[in-house]
Amino acid sequence: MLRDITLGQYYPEDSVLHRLDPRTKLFGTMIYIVSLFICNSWAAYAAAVVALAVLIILSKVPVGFMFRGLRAILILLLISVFFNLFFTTGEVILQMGFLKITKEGLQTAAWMAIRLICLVIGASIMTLTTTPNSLTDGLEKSLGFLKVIKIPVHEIAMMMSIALRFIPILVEETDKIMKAQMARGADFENGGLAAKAKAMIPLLIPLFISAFRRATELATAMEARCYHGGEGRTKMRPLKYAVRDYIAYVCIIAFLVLIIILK
Amino acid sequence: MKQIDVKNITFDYIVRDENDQIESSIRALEDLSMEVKPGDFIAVLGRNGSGKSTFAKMLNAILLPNFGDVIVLGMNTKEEDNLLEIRKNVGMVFQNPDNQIVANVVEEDMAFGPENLGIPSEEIVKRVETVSHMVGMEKFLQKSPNKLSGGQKQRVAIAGVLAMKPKCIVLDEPTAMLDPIGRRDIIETVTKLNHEEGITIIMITHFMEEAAAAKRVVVIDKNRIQMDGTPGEVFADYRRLKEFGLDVPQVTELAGKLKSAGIPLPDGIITVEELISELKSRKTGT
Repeated sequence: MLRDITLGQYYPEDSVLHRLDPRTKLFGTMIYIVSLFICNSWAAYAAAVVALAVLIILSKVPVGFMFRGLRAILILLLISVFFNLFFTTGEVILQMGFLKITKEGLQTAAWMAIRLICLVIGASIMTLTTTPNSLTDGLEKSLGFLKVIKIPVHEIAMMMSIALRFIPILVEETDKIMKAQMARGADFENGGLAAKAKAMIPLLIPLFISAFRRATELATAMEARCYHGGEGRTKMRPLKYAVRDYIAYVCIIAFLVLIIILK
Repeated sequence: MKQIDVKNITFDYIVRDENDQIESSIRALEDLSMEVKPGDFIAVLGRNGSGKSTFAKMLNAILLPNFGDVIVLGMNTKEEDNLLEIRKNVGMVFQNPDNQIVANVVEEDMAFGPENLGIPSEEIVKRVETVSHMVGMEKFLQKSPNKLSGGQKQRVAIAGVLAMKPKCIVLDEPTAMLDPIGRRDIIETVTKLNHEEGITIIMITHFMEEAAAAKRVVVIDKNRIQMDGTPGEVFADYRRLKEFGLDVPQVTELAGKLKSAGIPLPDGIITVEELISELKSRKTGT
């Protein structure tokens, strides 16, 4: 079940987008999302869609793979289109019983749909082209200024990367415990919601105990390897901007200006 | 010259209740002393609960003795200021390979130690390259640790420690969770590091066969050192080893019995092959 989560899924490929610095991609994604909310005309939306199409082509990730991420928001998409379509007041163009479609409604619904789709695809382009590790690195580096207000940025980034490392291990462990409990007659499949929730207890308790034990051991191992927080720490491969990153920054800013003009 | 000097250490595990009052305490080590010379290869044997893992954790200041001192390269483990320098020089490999690998990529895990020490980036890249060859993992640098076998993961862990350029490596039952192939791999790697790089090895184990690779065997039981000598010397006294709850290889026991029955055999035979060749040489000799 955990295998279906596409969050942070990485698609290995060798493209310009893959090679960009994660900080550039984070900044670009942020600007893109902001610009989607500035959009208020067909021209601006068209610009956003064209930009997205260019990015998809540049990323070399198969379009089908990319659109798979949309399944998760399909219901949300339908609901928002439905409400915008039928419940916007304005010039009526179609009347079916108590439901009426207005010209304004049609437009808002379409814009809403474009906005949501662009949002999800835009964000997934970033995760598909960036390994979780470099994403964490990028976040740590670009949010470094928060250290001034005592936010432990390095520690949070470290926790994120450790969590990513242990997800597959804990998934495997869950599987093992599940099988062990099933061999002892546990029933995870049948019964109502309450019975199913109750059946999770013999699964969750051993899982938690084991996770805590792992955490203690890992902490000892990290200490034994001289870990003492982010202070004075170096990186094997520090993030460095290349020419393509500066070009990308110029493009991102140009895009934002274009959207502001077109809105 | 002493690399590590353990002087009369005593250690108790203390269980406290909610009010921070001592509820009970369990003695793990008692008045234990030992010296480690540079380039040594020591196997520390002992059954579960004998205190051998506690002893290992004393050597790089993960645990501190209640009484007595541990001096590493002239530095006392009790002084906070020495901590990084001690841990850099005495690396530690643990039992469970999964719970000591920090990064999501093999290469990054090997770099973790040097990164913590603030080594410049170019130097880290070089070190990772070198240590990956030392443990034979150079082809896996870009892989995820989750895709490796237990023995390979343990080799990554050893490389991660090596990258800090330690003078000594302590391995706390490094093979306990591995299959026979992984186990052999680790023993070979460790032996090579000792012979070729001159790194001091202290290996905690309860496998007699692994202890045979060492230059010196120390048996810990009931919180104290009970036996200390070359593998030959220690294994010769198989009756005492059994007393300390250690599994003596059947062939060692057989050789011992043959010897006491009057067949002239050397001490400390631990493999079937050794016994066969010894017996054969007797036969052709007479």
